[in-house]
Amino acid sequence: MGALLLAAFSVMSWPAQAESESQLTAAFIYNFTKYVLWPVDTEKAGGDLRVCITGESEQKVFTGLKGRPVRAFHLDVKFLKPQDNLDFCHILYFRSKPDTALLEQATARSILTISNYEQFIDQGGVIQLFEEKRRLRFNVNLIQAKAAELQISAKLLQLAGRVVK
Amino acid sequence: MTRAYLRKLSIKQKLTMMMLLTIVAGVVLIGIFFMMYERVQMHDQLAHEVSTVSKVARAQLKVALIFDDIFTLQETANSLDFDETVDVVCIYNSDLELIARSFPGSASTSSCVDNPYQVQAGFNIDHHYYIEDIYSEDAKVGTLLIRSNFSYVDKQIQSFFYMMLTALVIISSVSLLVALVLQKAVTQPIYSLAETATGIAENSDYTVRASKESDDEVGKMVDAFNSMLETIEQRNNELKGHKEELESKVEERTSELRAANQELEAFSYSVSHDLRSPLRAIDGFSQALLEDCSDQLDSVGRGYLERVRLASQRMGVLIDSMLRLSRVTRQEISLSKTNLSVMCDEIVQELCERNAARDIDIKIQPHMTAVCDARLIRIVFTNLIDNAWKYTRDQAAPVISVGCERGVFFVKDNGAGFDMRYADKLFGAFQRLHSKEEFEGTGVGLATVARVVRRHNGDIWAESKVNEGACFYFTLPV
Repeated sequence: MGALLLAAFSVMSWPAQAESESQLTAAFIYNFTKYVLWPVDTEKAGGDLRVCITGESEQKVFTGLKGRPVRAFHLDVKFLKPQDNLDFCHILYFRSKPDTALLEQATARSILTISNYEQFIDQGGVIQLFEEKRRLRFNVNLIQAKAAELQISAKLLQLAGRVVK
Repeated sequence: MTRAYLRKLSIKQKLTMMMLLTIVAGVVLIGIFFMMYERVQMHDQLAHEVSTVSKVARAQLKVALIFDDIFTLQETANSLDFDETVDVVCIYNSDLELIARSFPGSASTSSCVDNPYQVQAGFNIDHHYYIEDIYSEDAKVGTLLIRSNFSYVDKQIQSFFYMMLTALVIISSVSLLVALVLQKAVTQPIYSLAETATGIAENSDYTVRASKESDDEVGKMVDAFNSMLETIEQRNNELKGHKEELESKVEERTSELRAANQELEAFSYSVSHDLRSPLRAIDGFSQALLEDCSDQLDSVGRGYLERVRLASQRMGVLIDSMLRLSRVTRQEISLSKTNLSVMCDEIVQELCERNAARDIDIKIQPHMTAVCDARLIRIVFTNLIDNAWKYTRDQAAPVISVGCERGVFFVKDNGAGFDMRYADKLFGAFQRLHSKEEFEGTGVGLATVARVVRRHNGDIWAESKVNEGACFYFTLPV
């Protein structure tokens, strides 16, 4: 985990002190927004690009993403409660094994779903984070991304460990 | 040294050398200029290439940097190895830590520096540093450093240098060939002019003309040279004409003179010869009258007849000497080595026999010899000694000396002498410095002597003072 922290320290593009794996995840989530395009209407509208967080998380780390600029957007962070609606979410992060009902609800919308869960992309998630040689990497489900009308940059796909097409 | 060497060269060699040097200097200068230009160009090209390549890789680099993908970073670093020019590619993260590097070039000689900002970006002595910060959304995510060497540039410049050398050799040899052909147009007229001038100087033949082969300065020189030759030839012809005219005039005059002389001599000879027979008749009949009819004449008549005889006899002597004079002029000279001392002894002997009464001290230098006509020289000495004998008549102790000093013969006496004022009349025919009553003589003797001496190509002159003797000098060079 120390190495991961070190890696996070070096990758983080803002001067925050890396404290945990969550910090690295937060950095990755921010970086993903740079290489993912939402449907045209959303992109044109601009405004807030909302990151919804589920499960147990270090709230402070993710709160740090708030207000960061991406294209015409500014990031916003919301910690979901079990009964919350997904309508205003653009990104949905599952800290642990995702709630099936919630994931199904998310796949029906243009939401970029991200999780550390192992079989996430096989269950309908878009990006799955994993650790390899003490570095954080990711797999992508391109089919699901297309279904959700999300365009993922080829540059990002090049870095992916596995791409489901 | 150089000047002495240049002096020896012909115009052709000088021209060739000049052209060759000009061509070599030109090609070398052009080569240097292009090499410098090429070097600058290639450096610019190198910088441009490196920046282009890194720009292409930048997007890839950015995403790999923000996702901390070491593998992709390394791949990107390796992909920047576009040729041997790149020594090192170093990729640093936002905290300036080296996270990927590639050594396409000479890995052993260079490595990544700890801090990319330590190095001087751009061109250094033997390498070029390209430094670029990579940004994502205004935040610096890493730095790219590419170090390139000039080996490719140097190689190109080297090959350019060899190309220039080859060009130099080819251009020089081709130009030399062309120059050798073309320079004839310049050197040939000069060469032929020089040859003509030398020929004229050696043979003094001014009728020769230099041929004009061009209308340039050499052509003008040829024209000037030819007009000079024309002037010289004209002068020569004029001189020749004058000389011929003079020669023919001299010949004309000489032949006229010779004819006049011959006529004169023939006249005087025939006159002298023809005068002798009437004279003999006068003398003979006067004698017959004296001998056969003396009883019919009184003493006065006989005295007159004696006078007639004396006068006719003197006239006979005069005619004889005139004949001798003309003979001396006409006679052929036959030269032989003659002992003049012996000749003078004989002459003095004869004189003593004829005038036994006189007691004269005669000194004759012994062993005098000369190459001359003995018969004519005998006339000379006879006349001179005879004169000396005659003019010492009134001397109490007469002395006559004959000798030779440094090729000059002399006959000296201590007799009456003569006035030097009349010295120029001495050797003319019928010229006398003393009256007949003082000293007898015909006035032809010294004229004959002078003529003989001149016929021997010699000279005759005399020195004297009145009553202090006279000395006659003459030379016989033949």
